[in-house]
Amino acid sequence: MNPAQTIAQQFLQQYYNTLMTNKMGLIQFYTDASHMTYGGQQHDGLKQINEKLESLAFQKIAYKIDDMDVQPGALENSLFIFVTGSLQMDDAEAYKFSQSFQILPNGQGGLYVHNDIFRLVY
Amino acid sequence: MNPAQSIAQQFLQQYYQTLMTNKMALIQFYTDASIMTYGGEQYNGLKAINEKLESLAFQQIVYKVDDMDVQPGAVQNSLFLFVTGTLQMDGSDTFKFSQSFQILPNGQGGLYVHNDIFRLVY
Repeated sequence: MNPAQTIAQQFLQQYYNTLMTNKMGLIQFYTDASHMTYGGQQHDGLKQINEKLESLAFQKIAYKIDDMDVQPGALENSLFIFVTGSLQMDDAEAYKFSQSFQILPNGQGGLYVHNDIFRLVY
Repeated sequence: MNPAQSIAQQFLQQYYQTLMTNKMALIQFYTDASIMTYGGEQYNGLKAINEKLESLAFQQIVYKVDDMDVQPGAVQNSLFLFVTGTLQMDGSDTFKFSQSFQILPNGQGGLYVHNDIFRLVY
């Protein structure tokens, strides 16, 4: 695993772990410059993304990553990431999903999610 | 459809049409800064991408786009795209795919593919 893949894997582990244990805590990965699209609906900036997180109606969610592809993003020290996997909400059936991210330096030594597009795959 | 979605749709129509009618000409969408990942294998720059296009072994391919999500990319006038759809090679079974792009200004008034990640979804 090369350095970019290592950073991406760490990021994804933190991201999905937060989503599984404390979904409102996911807001820490976003800034006002962020864009999130979930099932075709776009949410821009912290207020909208926070409202979207509040609206997610599961009690429990389990994520499993099957594959991850990582490329350098458009800016230095940014990464373009593509994930496929499955998720299961509240013991219902498992669904396949694809999710694409671009993570950028946040100016304080860390990374934030600039782009995030999620779709279930039927 | 907003302006970003119009530009993205036009780009995707050109991209998939080229792939369906003249796959080697797909190289026009890439530069030496481009990174393409296809089924987990990464190709950086024009030479590697050209070799990958040469190696694609179908006579005929049909693409159908089911959904497209578009967000502003990391730099001005760039777009972050996510596509789901199906493809069929040489009259065999239809496969589902997901593909994520980041397209950037090429400095000559057009756009090029900086990031391209493609995966079949089983």
